[in-house]
Amino acid sequence: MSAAPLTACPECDLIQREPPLARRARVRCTRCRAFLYRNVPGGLERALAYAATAAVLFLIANCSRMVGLEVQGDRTSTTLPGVVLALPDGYLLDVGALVLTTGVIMPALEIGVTLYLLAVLRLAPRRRCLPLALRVLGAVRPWSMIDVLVLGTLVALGRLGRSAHVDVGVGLWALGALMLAMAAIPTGFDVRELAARLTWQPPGTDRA
Amino acid sequence: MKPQTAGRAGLLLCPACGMLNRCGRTEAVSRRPGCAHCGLHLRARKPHSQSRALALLLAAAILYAPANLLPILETSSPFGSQRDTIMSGIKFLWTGGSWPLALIILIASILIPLAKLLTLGALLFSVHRRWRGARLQRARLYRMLERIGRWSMTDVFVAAVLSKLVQLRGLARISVGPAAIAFGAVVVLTMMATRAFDPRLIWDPETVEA
Repeated sequence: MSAAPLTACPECDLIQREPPLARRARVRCTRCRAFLYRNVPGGLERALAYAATAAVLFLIANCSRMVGLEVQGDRTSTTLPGVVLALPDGYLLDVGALVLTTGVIMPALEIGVTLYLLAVLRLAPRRRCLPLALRVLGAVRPWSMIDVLVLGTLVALGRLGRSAHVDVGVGLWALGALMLAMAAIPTGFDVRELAARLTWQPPGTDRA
Repeated sequence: MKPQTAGRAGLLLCPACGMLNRCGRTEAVSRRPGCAHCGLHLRARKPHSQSRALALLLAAAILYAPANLLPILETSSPFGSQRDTIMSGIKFLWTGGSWPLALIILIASILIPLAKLLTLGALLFSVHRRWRGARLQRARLYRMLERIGRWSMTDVFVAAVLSKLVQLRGLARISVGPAAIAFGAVVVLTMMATRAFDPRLIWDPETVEA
């Protein structure tokens, strides 16, 4: 028997030995080929930088004009929250809530929790709330849809572009950059490295 | 030799920190043990995976009808008003010469939701009948479902942005139609159904019964 530590695949539950991990290598399950973990040099610092970038871009994207439209001297424009607030009353509570949740609230939570997690790990890795933060992050991530929002906005602009003059505001550029920054956070974010730095003790053991 | 799984060995993998925890079979059921390393609550399987996934999937399938039959956009202009369903919107884009946009909407709003409904239904059926074949392909299919699901939300965002921007006095107004929320619900419900499905079920016939 070799001394390599064991791990289990989160998707098919197979127990397997952890192979020696080269720099930047990814490990997949031997049975179902699911992604298990990877090696990211300097991952946490890089992820923290991306998360801070994302937070700034998120503020810009929400405060500045996203897109404008001009037809025969008549102009309209909107910010990202404006898209939600302008919906007629009947749709404010359903479509509006859906757009607000997936386009604003969930991305804000994802960025906020990631920043909190990485900052706490750097400064004081003994906090009790880290497991909770990890769980919140896992639940929030699928519903944070900045990338889909960018695609949807571009398609809408493409539709209007034939019949009207469309101008792209700072908000949409910020949204595009935000999409890239948020996509970059998980690539520099290896849970194994995070776990290695985690010195949280289960309740009862550290009170003595 | 049967492949050894964590469930049979009395081990639980912590999804957050990757630590393998030891636990008794009864303990895992009764008082949700916490990970010894990071304290995260652990469970061996997603609870009631098959029935929850099926219920959410059926709800999504029912809402799929109004999502496609009712108008998603209502346009009014001095030349008359027009009510577009998802499909007629695609036709409008296609004949209007913007076929790349038509293609994006076709994939995001028609193909992906349909593929999700059919594929997850087939996966649930295969797991229920304890099929043993094509396990790797089914596992890959499931991972693909998880990845592509979110993109069908595109049309909801398109409708919301259009209805905000096109409010031109005397020229044209676009407003969101009743299909938008039905379609949004289809997307959310299928995403929830995909997350409720436990891919470990695909491998069960090999490990539990073999």
